[in-house]
Amino acid sequence: MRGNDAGQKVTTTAIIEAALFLSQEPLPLDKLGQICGVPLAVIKDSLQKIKADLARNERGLVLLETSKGFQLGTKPETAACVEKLFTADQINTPLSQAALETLAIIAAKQPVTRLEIENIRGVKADGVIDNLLKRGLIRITGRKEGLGRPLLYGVTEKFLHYFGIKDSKELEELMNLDT
Amino acid sequence: METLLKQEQVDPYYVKLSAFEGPFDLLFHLINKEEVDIRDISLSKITDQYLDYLHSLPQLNTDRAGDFLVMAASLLYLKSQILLPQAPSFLQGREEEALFFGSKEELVRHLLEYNFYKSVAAKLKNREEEQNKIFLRSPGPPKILMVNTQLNFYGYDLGVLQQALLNIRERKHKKEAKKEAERGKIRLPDGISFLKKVRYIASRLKECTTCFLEDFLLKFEKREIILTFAALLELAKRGKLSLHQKDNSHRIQVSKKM
Repeated sequence: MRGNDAGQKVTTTAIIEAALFLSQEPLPLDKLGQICGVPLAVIKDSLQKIKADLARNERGLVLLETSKGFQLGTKPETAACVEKLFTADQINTPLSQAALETLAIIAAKQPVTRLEIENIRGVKADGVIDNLLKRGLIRITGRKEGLGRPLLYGVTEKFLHYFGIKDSKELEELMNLDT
Repeated sequence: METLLKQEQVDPYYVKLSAFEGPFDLLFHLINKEEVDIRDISLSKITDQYLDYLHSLPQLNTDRAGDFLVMAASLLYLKSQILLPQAPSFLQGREEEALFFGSKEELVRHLLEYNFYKSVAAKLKNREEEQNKIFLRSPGPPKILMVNTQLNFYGYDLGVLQQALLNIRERKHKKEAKKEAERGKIRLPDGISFLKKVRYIASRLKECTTCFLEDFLLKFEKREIILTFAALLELAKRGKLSLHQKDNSHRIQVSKKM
């Protein structure tokens, strides 16, 4: 707790909420600590409070934890209504089955060549790969040594973001079919 | 299988191919229909079903069906290996590059691997659906705009609007056609003709035996210049006048021929 000019109390929780509201990008823990000038343990505590508060039915936001930090988003339950604010081209078109399977292969085997992907799926993959590159979900990570030095592909940070995957550990868990 | 075939017969071929994302996808579908473990599949049965499926296609688009046909060939090859007594084959050890797999074990391994990626893809799809329901503040100027998806046509229906659009296009087309036609013609200012120009040249040459080309051309506007020039050429061709230039830097002399 600390006072402001009007003598009213402003809590760390309030400052964090304000910062998260303003920021267009995820805010990392240490950045929040800088802003508030309090230890990270306090920040974590406040984030928990915000999360719990937002969980109430009356609230329309959620606290998201991404690879780059914390961020506010709208509640999934409100999507059907709030998406009317957008035009059709502003809403993500879902990925095709081919794109999803290709991403699954790249995420599991990266770095991986186009040929390896094609062998698993039994169909050409160039179109799908082009598309995924354009959407920024995969990137060229280098070239494989050997005949023809084919390009190698891997998933990007945007990929993690797109599927709401927090970090590489969570990605690994996703690849584990028992969970 | 029956429901599958029925559905396939209704849909055109290209729709069907996109329903199965590749030959393994189709094979998978068939195996799932059997409700058996991939390891226990009856190759013979699955091969027949696979061929049935390909036969059920009203027409074969070989461009897109190539992979499916290779799969069918691979399955047939395996089936033949199982059905025929095993002779010490000279083929053994030879690489089967065109085929997807060389043995049942290989096929099963491949199917299990494919199955793994399919289920990861399914997980990703779930996450994508969840994630697409969450909206974030967008960077830059706010993108959110209120859109009125209900357009007001003021009581006119689609047909009327379409006809109006067609009328406008046709009118524009006619206008352009007319312009195009006019571009081909040279319209002369009133009172000017080729014959008059010939007479004019003749009278000028009577006055002075030697004139320069500029004297005939400079004072007119474009269309008249062209006509005068044509008249000069015509007269020169008929031998009524001669055109002479000493060298490239000199003016062209026009003189009457005796």
